[in-house]
Amino acid sequence: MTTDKCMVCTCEDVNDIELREAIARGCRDLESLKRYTGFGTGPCQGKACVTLARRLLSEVTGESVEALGAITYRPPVQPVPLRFLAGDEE
Amino acid sequence: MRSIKYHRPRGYSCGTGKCASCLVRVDGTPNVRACVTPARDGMVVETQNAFPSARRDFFAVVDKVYRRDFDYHEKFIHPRVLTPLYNAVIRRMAGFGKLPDLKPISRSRVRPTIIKREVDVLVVGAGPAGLAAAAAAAEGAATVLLAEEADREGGSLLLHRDVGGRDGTLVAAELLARVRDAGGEVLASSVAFGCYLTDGVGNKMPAPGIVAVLTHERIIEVKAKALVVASGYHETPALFPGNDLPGVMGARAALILLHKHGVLAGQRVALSAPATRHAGEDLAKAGADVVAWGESPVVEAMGGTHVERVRLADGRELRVDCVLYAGDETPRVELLQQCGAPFVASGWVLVPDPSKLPPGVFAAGDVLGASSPLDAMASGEAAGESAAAFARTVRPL
Repeated sequence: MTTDKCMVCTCEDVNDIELREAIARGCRDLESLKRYTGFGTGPCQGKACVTLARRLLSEVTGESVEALGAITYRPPVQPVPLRFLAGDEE
Repeated sequence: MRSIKYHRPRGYSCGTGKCASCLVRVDGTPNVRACVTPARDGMVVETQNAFPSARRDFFAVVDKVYRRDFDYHEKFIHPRVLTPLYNAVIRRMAGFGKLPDLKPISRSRVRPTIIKREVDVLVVGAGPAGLAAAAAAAEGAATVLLAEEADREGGSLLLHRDVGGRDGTLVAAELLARVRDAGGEVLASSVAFGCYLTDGVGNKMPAPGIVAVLTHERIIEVKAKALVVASGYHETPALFPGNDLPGVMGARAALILLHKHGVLAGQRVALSAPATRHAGEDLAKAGADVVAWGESPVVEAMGGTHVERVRLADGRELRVDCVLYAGDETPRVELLQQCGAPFVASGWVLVPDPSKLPPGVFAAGDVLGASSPLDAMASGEAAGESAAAFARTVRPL
């Protein structure tokens, strides 16, 4: 049995209905939408869901893809065990 | 595993270690990406985020109660006096796995070392574009380091049986030989995880700055005169109810299963869009029954803990055990953004503007927008030549 929600961000379990609701409440740019719903903040850090979220945002607000822009990708962009970051320099 | 909020069933979906749908607990360490972790004899693999099991998870009731949405900004905050109880319950139900066993931590007492390297050209990604770029740069007399995240070089070449009339695997092997013959160094299982435009003590550096690469049990800090980013793309899921059911996956993910691991993703396969056709043809050749070819999009996937049926836009309902999506691929622009590259729109995605990349930074292949392996190779050759030429103009680092 599936329900009628479509998953946008599978890491944080954020669906299209939640995103549309957040946009209706005033999250009209990617960063606000990300902070309110938590999409793109899971283990993958928003690799593909950002495309779906941007598309929803663009369809609802009429803003262009370019104006909506990207989210900020901070390193590490792939998981790195902390012990490596705490390593000794040669 | 199960998802963190709704406890929905999840499974293999990207095949490249870029999502969180196949996380498992391995030998006491939580959140290990199953799709990129080789199996070993005696390995203890456990499911996570599920009680008592991934097949039957009591917490899945959340998905039924909150059929549409779950707004945690408004729920479980009143009455205030119950907040600690709510928090205790939510912490138990949500989150990624449980803390690791102490054993594996105490076993590794030796601190890993961080190595510093200086090269003329660093190439990130050893797909068709990255291999061609590394070959061209190395032949241009530059010292070249090529870092590939997967355990085998070739990228999309390994998934194509016809690249200009030849098997992609052979094309990849030839390009790899070209890189090595010209003196290039190739590191597989090595991911460039960040580009830092500051030195170790906070002074600003021009792009490409320092690129950090996690390689075999250590980090390499690479200072390159020129950087070629050939990082490819992330598959973007299609939006339909049930798009996260196990058995629903990216077309590339299914090709990785087939061509890299010799595993058929399903017996009865539905393609959700025409862009998945190549995957459909390869799966059909390998013995799968492709019951829908994408001419009518999938509008819903249904099933319990695995996809069992799909509904198409034309109203047909089909019994399947695998659904493939493709289209709207998201260019993997993370490193380029960290280098300061500006983006332009291409459909629903952003791609780097090749004419406005910072000096010394080059992009090639699918990160500039989806292309064929042959086009990616051509774009890699050009980027590799430019990077080597640029490196010659830079003073010693």
